[in-house]
Amino acid sequence: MQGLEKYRRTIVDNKRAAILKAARRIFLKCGYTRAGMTEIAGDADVSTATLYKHFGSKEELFAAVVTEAARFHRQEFATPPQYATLAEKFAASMRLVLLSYAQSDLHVLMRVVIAEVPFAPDVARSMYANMIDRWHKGVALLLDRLIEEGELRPHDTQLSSKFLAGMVKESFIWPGLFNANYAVPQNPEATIREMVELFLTRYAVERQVAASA
Amino acid sequence: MGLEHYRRTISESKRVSILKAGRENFLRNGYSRAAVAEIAREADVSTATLYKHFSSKEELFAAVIREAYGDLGGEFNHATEADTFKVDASTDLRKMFHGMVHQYLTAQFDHGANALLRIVIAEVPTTPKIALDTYEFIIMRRAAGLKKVFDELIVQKRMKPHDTEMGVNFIAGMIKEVFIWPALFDAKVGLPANADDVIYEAIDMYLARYGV
Repeated sequence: MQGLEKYRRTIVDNKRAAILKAARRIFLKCGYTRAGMTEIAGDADVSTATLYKHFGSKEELFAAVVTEAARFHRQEFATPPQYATLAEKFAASMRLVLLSYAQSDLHVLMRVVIAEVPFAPDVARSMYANMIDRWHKGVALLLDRLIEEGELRPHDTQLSSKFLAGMVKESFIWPGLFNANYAVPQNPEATIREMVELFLTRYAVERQVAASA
Repeated sequence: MGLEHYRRTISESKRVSILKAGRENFLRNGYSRAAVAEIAREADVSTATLYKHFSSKEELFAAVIREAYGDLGGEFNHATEADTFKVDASTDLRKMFHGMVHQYLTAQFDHGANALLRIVIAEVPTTPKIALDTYEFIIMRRAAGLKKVFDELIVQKRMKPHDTEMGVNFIAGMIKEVFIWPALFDAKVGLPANADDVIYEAIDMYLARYGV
């Protein structure tokens, strides 16, 4: 009985994963408006009925594709590896963010969404809330913890989390919004280290102490 | 001579109304869905006249973008010239940078530039050249203007030597993440009430590391 239940759940999970994968491919290819649920079901090798059992509407399916990409994206910052200095910790996290961006083609999904703002405003709004804003909030929580631990001085982390995101995106991601052939630079290390320095010079307690000494 | 002048005025005013109709149509329909015949009708000119001014939809769209950004690009470029923002030993850098950012944001929000930018991004897969041109024409040119100001400030020893190209990306990224990107995803988003505080915080971060 338990074995059968488990088997059924595995099948369902596999189908869900196949649908998400197909949907992502079709959305990227056709854009949101032109993507058809029937085509997605066909691509995922499931019936349209099965597709609708998993996702009630195209909007819901698209939101799930975005959330899937964003989940991967958020995880990277939330679990920074242990490093000796604050600067190393930040740099490692930024590198991971960049890597996850590059691998998940988030900017391509964003392009699809931005295109649809006049026609499907709710889809765009919820993508912003689910992906970009949730990422900001997650990073802000992390920064709050660093303030509690005495590493960063108290400041508006809702804002500074956006500053961090903005520096990474402007340096590495946004050119790809405009140029389909853009590739993230092979060696982003110097840029990452400098943006971390810029951030920590303003907000790290140890830098403030060093400056006043 | 008078006739020639008259002809040119007529032609110029037709061009202006085509650009205006084109802009409105693109903003309403996006690029792919916009139709040249409809734009001609809205501009009250024949399709032949439209094609005499702009040989393709792509060219018309590029002209609309250039016009929108020609205005603000002009303003901004002008504003970053040393003769407008005088940079000398007495310049209050915080105030000057704030003025520059404020001008950029006002132009971006008041000229409907966000909506046009959205169309450009949307069309990257279908008309990549427009997007690349826009990127070069608007974003890179603006960044180059700001870089020039930073470089000048370094020469005058008002700022520490630093990689100003990188620096421009950092400060532009901070400003855009807070103001522009939310507006790209939601046409109803305007400038928030606390815009000045945000701008000053970004500037203070920059000056904390690169100021003297």
